[in-house]
Amino acid sequence: MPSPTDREKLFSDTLDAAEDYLQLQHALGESLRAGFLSLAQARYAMGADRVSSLQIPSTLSATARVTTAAGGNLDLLLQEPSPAGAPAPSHSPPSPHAQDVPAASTSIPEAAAGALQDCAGPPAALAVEASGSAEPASHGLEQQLQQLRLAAESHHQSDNLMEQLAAKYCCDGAGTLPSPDDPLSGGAAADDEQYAEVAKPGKPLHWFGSLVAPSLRDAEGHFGRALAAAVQAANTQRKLRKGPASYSSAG
Amino acid sequence: MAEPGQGSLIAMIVDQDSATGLLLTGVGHSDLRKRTNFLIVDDKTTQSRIEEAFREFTTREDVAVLLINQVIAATIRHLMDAYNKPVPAILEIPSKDAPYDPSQDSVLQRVRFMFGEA
Repeated sequence: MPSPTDREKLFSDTLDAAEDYLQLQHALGESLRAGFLSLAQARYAMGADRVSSLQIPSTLSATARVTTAAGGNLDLLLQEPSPAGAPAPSHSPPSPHAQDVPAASTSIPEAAAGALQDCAGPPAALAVEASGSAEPASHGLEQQLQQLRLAAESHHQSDNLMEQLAAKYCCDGAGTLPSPDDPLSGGAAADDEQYAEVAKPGKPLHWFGSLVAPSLRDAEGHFGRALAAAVQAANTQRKLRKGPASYSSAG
Repeated sequence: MAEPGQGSLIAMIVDQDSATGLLLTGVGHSDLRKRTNFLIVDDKTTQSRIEEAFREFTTREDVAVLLINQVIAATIRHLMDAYNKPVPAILEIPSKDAPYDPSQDSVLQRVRFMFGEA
């Protein structure tokens, strides 16, 4: 049978918890009030649309959580925001289409060789026709050979260019895109740092821009203190809930 | 259930200003199914939506604290008074327009009622 002293102790403990709860609510209210004021100042400085729920991203990961410590009390846990959002650069392996590119590229020198062979004919024919005048024929032959060499070099350069473009945009030498089902058709553009996705900022403050008003940083601090007060108030509320139940069971 | 080593979430049913400020602290979370741990209440939010969010947040295993503006809590007072689970803890917080009123707080009302009976 609980003594009257125990009941009085329970009563006084509950009243103490109620007083602590009210003080924490007061501190919470003060922090929130300061936070709202700073938020209003930030809206005035940056614009109302830039500081609103419109800036909240669709994917969120909480960095402020609570953990249950020994005794059942809640502790506020603040984690470092990870610089998430940046996709891992997909090191796309040489696509099978890239393998076709050398084949395609070889066809061009072959074509050039074929052209050379074809052109070997006419110069020979020219040589036969111009047998009467050797010097003009040889001069014309040299010009044609020079042109063919230039054409072959340009083909060679285009082979490299084609290879580069094919590897970059992951298509074959003919310029056809791979099928969407092709698992190896990774975004080649992701390999290109120029086209890499900008990492989404992990810190919530950066949702509102890279350069934010100082008042928004103040608001972050005020709301952080409000959150800490809220967690402490939640702990005190737990004692407050147990008080009347224990008191009534003791009575 | 919260992931091990990472802690539980802090859910919110608040107005836009409170949500903007509290989300700055990093409490916002959305899972793979795009379920968020907060509901932003405005003029167009119906009471049934608020009640649905309250029931959802109080039954989720990964939520340890629920913050709710006292003005919004007044609209679902019947649910607040009927709630008696220790987890998640429901905390009524003031909003920008309305300060905290201890006489409206469900927890303090319960304490007053219990000791009033005694």
